[in-house]
Amino acid sequence: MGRKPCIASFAQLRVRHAIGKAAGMRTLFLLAFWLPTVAFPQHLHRVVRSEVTFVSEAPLERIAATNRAVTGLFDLDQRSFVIRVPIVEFEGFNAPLQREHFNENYLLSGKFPHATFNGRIIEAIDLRKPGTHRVRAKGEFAIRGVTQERIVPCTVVVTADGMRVNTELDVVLEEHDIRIPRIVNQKIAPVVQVAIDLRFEPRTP
Amino acid sequence: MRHPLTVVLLLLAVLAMGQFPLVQRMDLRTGQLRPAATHVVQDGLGMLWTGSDMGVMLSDGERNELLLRSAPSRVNGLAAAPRGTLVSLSNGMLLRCTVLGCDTILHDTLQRSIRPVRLLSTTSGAVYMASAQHGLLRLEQGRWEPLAASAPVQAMHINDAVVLSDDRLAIATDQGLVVVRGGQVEQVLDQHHGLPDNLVTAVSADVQGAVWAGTASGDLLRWEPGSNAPTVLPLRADTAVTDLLLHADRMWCALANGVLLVHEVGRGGVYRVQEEQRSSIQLAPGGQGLVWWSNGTDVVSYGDPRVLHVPSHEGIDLTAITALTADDAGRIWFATSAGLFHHPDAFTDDARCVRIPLALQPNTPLVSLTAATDHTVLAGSFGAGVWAIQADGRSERLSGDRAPQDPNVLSVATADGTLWMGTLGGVAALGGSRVQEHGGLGPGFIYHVLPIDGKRSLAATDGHGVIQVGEGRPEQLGTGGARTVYSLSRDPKGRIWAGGPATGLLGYDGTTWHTYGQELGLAEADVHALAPYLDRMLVFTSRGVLAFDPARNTWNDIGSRMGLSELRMELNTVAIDVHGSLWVACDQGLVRIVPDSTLLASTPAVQVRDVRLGSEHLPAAARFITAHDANTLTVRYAIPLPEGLASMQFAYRLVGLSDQVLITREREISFPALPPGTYRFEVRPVGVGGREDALWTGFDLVVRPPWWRLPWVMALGAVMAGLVTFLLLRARERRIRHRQQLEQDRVRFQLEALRSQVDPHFLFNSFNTLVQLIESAPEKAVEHVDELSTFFRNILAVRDKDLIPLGEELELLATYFGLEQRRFGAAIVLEVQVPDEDRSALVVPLTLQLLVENALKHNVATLQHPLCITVKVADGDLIVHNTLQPRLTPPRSTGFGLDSIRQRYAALSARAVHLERSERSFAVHVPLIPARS
Repeated sequence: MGRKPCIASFAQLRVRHAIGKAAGMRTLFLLAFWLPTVAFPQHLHRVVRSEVTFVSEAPLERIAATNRAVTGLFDLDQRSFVIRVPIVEFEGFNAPLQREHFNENYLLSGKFPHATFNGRIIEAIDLRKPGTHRVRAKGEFAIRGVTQERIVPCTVVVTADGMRVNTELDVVLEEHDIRIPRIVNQKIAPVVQVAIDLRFEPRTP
Repeated sequence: MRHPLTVVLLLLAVLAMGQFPLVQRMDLRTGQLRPAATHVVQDGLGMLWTGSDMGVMLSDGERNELLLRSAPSRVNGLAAAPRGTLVSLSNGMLLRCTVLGCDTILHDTLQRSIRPVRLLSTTSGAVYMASAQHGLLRLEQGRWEPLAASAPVQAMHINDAVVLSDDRLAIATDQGLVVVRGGQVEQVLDQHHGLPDNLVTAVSADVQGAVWAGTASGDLLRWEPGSNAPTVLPLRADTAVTDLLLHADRMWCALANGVLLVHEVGRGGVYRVQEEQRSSIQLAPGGQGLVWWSNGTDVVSYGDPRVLHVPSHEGIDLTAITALTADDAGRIWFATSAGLFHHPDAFTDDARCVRIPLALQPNTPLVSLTAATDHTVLAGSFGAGVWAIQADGRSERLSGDRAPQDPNVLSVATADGTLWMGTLGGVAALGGSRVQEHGGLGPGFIYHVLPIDGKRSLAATDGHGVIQVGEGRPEQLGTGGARTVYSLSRDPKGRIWAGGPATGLLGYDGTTWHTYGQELGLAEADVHALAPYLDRMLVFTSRGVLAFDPARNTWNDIGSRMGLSELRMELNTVAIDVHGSLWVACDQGLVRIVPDSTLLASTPAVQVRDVRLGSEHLPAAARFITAHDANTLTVRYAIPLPEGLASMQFAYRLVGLSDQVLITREREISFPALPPGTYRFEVRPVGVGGREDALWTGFDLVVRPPWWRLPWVMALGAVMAGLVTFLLLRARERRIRHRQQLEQDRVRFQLEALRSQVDPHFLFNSFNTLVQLIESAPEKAVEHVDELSTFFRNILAVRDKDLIPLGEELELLATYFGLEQRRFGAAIVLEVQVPDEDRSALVVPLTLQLLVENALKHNVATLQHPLCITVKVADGDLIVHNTLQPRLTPPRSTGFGLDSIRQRYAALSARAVHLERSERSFAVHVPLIPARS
C-alpha cells in the first residue's frame, strides 16, 4: 500500500477528536453530511415555525422583541434537541436604536451570533404518541458565549404530523456576563422572561 | 395589591425573612482585579481557596493573593486534598496548589472539553472527576481513566457526586441516585424506589454514611444506601436544589432561585440564610462548623449556624427587647414596647409570634420575665406591678395581699414555689397568698434576685453589694462594700457570680468576693448580664461577650465570633431554653447561641505561611539554615479563617536577637540584616488583654557565619599572617645587613686605596725621585711636586664617590702613571686602548690605579724587559693586562687589593671580576658598569 499509515491515523485522530467534542456537535456534524445525500430520517424533526419572545419588565420601560427565525432539530429516539436562535433576528423593541444597542452593546451579536439551547428531555416518554406532555428539558443554555445548565419545564403537544413545544424561562443577565450600565438600570430588568413556542415537523428542507 | 391589607401582609412576609444565621462576607477584590469566584474551598490550615474566571486565589482574611493567573482559562473544579488543593482548569490542566504555588499534575489538552461537575478527593488520596460529558474519571498515573461504571452513569447524565466511606461514590443523575463501589454500579435509586423525582441535582453525605440528595422539584431526601426507601424532608422549596452540604449536623441547601436554606438536622426547622440574585451558589465546609459559599461574584460569604441573629420578626422590632425568658414548653417570651410575646424557639419561616394582651398603660414597660415550673409566666413591670400569664393565655395582675408594696418590679424569679421580686423598695417574696416584704436594704433598686430556695434569696442592690434576704436579718454577702450589682448568676457547681457597673466579674468563694477580668479592662466596663454556658461563665459587657473559665482562670473573646463585639442591652435579657441554647436580646436583635464548644475554643494557632530570605521563598521546614549574606528575614503568617477576618493582634519575638515580645497588627514581619547566629521566631495571636491561651508557633533559623569567620580559617589566617610578617622582617633585615656590608666594603676599599697612596714605599720612592730631580733638574722637581699634589687632590676628590666615568678614571691613572714613570723611566709602558664611546661607562674609582700598582709591585721592570701594561675594553669588560715578569722575591702582600676590588664589583655588577693568567701575561677583567643615561 502506498499510504503512510501514521499520517493517516493522526488525521483520523484529529477528526475523531473534533467529532467527539460534544454530543450536540456530533449530531450537527453528521447532519451536515447526511442531509444533502439521503432523505430526512423520520425520527428527526425540524423547526418549521417558531416564536421566541423576550420581555424585560423594568420600572421605567417594558421592552419586548420576537424572533421567528429559530432553527432546531429534535431527535425523537434520543429525546435530544438542538435549538439555535439568531440574535439579530429579534424584532420589536421600542425604537430602532434600542435594537441596535441590544445587538451591539449587550448581546454582542457580531461576536456571538446565536443563542443556543442543546439538551434533552429528562422524562422517558414516547414523543410519537399524540397527546400533551408536561416534561422537563435539561441542557446547556448559551447566550453571549456564556453557558449555563438549565432545567426548563415545558409543554409538548404531539399531533399526528408533528409536535409543538411551549416553554418559558427566566434569564438572569448577570449570569451571562451581560452588564447593564447604571444609567439604564431603571430601563432594563436584571431578569428577562423568555417565552418559546416552537413547531417541529418531520420535513425535509 | 388593591386592598391595603394585601400590602400589609406582603410587608409582613418580607419582614419575616429577616431570620438568618450570622452571615459574613469577604471581599475577594485585590487591586484592580474583580474575580468572579465560582468555587471555594477551605483547607486544613484554614486558608480559603477560591477559583474564578481569573485563576486561583488564596485568602487569609487580610490579603487576597492571585496565586495562579489562568485567564482566559477559568477554574472549573476545586477540591481540598491531603497534600494541597486540587484545581482543575478549563484548558484541561489539573494542578495541585499549596501556599507556595501550583504544580501541574496533568495537562491533557485533548480533554479540554471535560467540564467537571465535581472534582473529588478522598482521604486515601484518590482523585475523581465527575463530568457530564465524560462520565466518571479517576486520576491514575497522571491520566484521567474512566471507571467501569462510567458509561452507564454517563448515559444517566451526572449532576453531582460525593465520596462516601470506603471509597464509594454517590452520584446524582438525571435518572436517579447511583452508588458506585470499586468502579461498578452498586445500587440505583429512582422513582420506582420512592424517589420523588428522578432528576437528582445535588448530593451530600453525612458521617453515618447516609446520602442526602436534592431534586429538581425542590425535595430534600435522606437515604441509607442498602435500604430502598428514602426519607423525604419538607423543604418546601418549589425550585431545583443546586447544591447540598451536610456540615456539623446542619444541612445547607442552595436553590436555583438563589435562596440558601439551612436545615437543623437534630433540632428540626429550616432557616432561610439569604437570597442572592444569582443561582450559582457553591457550598464548601469550613472550620468550626462554618460553611463558605461562592456565587459567581467577587464576594464569598460564610454562615455561622452556631449563632442565630433575629433582628426583627413579623414586623416586631427585636432590637429593643426589655425582658426575655424561655419556658420549658420550648417557647421564648419577650417583651418590647409593643407588648408581651411568645414564639417557638425555632425562628423558622412558618413559626409565628403570639401576643399576650395585657391591660397595661402605655409607657409602662415590662422589665422582667420569668417562667415558673407550673407553666405560669410572670412579668414584672415598671410601675404596674407583676402580671401572671397562665398556660392557657389568661393573664391577671397580682393585687391585694399578693402584690408587692412597690409597683416597680425590676426582677422576678421563682424557686420552690416562692416568687421573688426585686423592686424599688426592696425584695418581696410571694410564698402562699401573702407577700412578705424584706425591707431595710437601703434606698435604691434591687436589680436582680437570685433565689437560693423558697426561704432565702440573694439580691443585687444599688450601692450595697449583694445582700442575702429571707430568714433573719438581711446580711451582706462577703465584704463587698458599696458596689452596685446588676446581675447575679450561679454556675453548675453552685458558685455565685456577680457583676455590675465597673465591677469586673465577681466570684464568691463562700467568704469573700474575688474580682476577675480587671486586666481586660472590665473594671471600666459595665457588666450587663451573666450566664453559665457549658463550663464557662459568659459575661455580657458593653465591650462584648467574654467567656471566663473558672478552672483555668482564662478568658475567651467569644463576642467577636458571635458578631457581638460591642453591644448594648437591657437587664434581664438573657435566657436559656430547653435545648440548652442561650438567648440574648441586645441592640442587634435576638441572638441564639447553641451550646457548641467550638465557640469557646482558643484562638487557633498562627500558621507560618511563607518565609523569605531576601526575595527567595523557602520551602516549609522547622529549621532554616542560611548564609551570612542572605540574612534579611521576612515571615508571613496567617490565622485560620474566619478568625483571620477579624483585625487581630499578634505577639512575636525573635529569640536570639531580643527576648522582647512585640505586639503588632501586621501579618508580615521583616528582620533586616541579621548577624550570624541561631534564632527562633515565634508568633501567636493575642486576644482580649493578651490573655488568650493560643500557642506559640515558630521555627528555627541559623544564619551561618561567613567562611572567613570559621575557626579553622581564622587560625589559618593568623598563621599565614605571622609567616608573612616573619618573612618580610627577615628580608628587611637581610637588606639592611647587605647595605651595611656594602658600606663597610666601600669604606674598606677607600681605606685600602688611601692606604696604598700613603704607602711608605710610594712616598719613599716619590721622595727619592724628588731628591734626584732636585739635584739634577730642579725645575722638574717642582713639576713633580705639582703632579704629586694633583694626584692626591684627585684621589681626595673621588674618594667619596661610588662610581666614576671610565674617562675620569683614566685621567687619574695617567697622573699616577706619570709619577711612577719618573721613577721607572722607560722600564714601564702604559698602553690605553679605550675607545671614546666606552669612556662614559662607570667604574669604581681607583680600580685601575690599584691594578696598575699591583702590576708594578709584583713584576720586575727593567729597560731590557720593560713592563708593558695595557688597558683595554673588550666584551663590556675593562681589561688590565700586563706582561708577567714576576719578582724573584715576592713583595710582602696582604692580597687585599684584588679582593676588595672583587667584593666591590660583586655588589655592583652581575658579572664577576676574574683573572687570566698565563706564563707570559697576567690580565684582570673588571666588568664595566653601563652609564645610566
